[in-house]
Amino acid sequence: MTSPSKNKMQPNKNTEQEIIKQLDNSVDRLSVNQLNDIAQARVAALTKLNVHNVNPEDNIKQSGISWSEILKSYIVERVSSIKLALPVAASIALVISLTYFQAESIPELPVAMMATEFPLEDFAMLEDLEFVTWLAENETSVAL
Amino acid sequence: MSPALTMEDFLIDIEKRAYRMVALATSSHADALDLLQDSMIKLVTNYQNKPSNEWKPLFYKILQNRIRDWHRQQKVKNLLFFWKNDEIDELQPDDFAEIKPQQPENDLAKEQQQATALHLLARLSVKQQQCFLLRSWEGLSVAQTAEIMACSQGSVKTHYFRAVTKLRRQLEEDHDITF
Repeated sequence: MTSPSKNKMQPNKNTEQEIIKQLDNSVDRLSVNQLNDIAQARVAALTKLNVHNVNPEDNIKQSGISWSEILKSYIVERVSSIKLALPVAASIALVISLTYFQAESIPELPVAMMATEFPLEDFAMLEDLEFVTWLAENETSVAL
Repeated sequence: MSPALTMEDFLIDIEKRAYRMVALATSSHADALDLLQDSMIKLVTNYQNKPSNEWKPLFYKILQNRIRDWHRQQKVKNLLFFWKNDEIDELQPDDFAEIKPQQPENDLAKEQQQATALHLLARLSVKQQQCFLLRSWEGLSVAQTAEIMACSQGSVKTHYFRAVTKLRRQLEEDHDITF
């Protein structure tokens, strides 16, 4: 007599085998295009293998370049990049500081002064006020 | 696996099955190739000096991480561009069958069976599907599968059992295949 669990497991085993068989078939029947693409992916990965396998010291020995020359070329490369980067950075700093200080030093004009047209009544009132002030000053000077 | 196995031999041995696994997870040939190539490159650049018997679990761990990342990206993409209706239609058995004219009936029947099996696998959740493939197809142990899928051994057993049960039920219901 078989246990219930064994009866239950048997169909699962058959299902598994059937699916695996079909999976194996599917791999065997991949199209030429798919196979080519997969091979290309592998080749791309293996090129990294060749790059990473090369010891840097061997590479230098093979090319016949000494460490001092490499160091020199590295420094020259750095200096040339600094030569270019410094003026650019200085000019950017200058532009930023100028725009910042200009904005700080010049106060904004009041909106009323920006108006182009003043009403004539205001001008007349101003003239009257000036005249009255002048009269008052004259009177005080006479009284003295 | 012999100790003298080269990286090239290893990749040749594993590439087709790995491609099929990613293709099932992504339902896209181009994405599957991208993920496969990324995983191969990562293995070659970072782990080529490891013993060759460690390459297989390492490779599948990398591949599973790539598949997980891909699904996360798809989720974010779908959230951001929710108005775009670019959802992939549910795959049908015929999608897996390649059209080859003038084939003998026997071949066609085999192809149909294969397409059905792949279609059923594609309908599983990604975790169940990958768990089934790693355990049954690649023959990895529960512990190795758990390590590769970054989950507990209990979860692996659950995913695997559910996957097999679902596959059996679908085969019986949809295709009148009884075991």
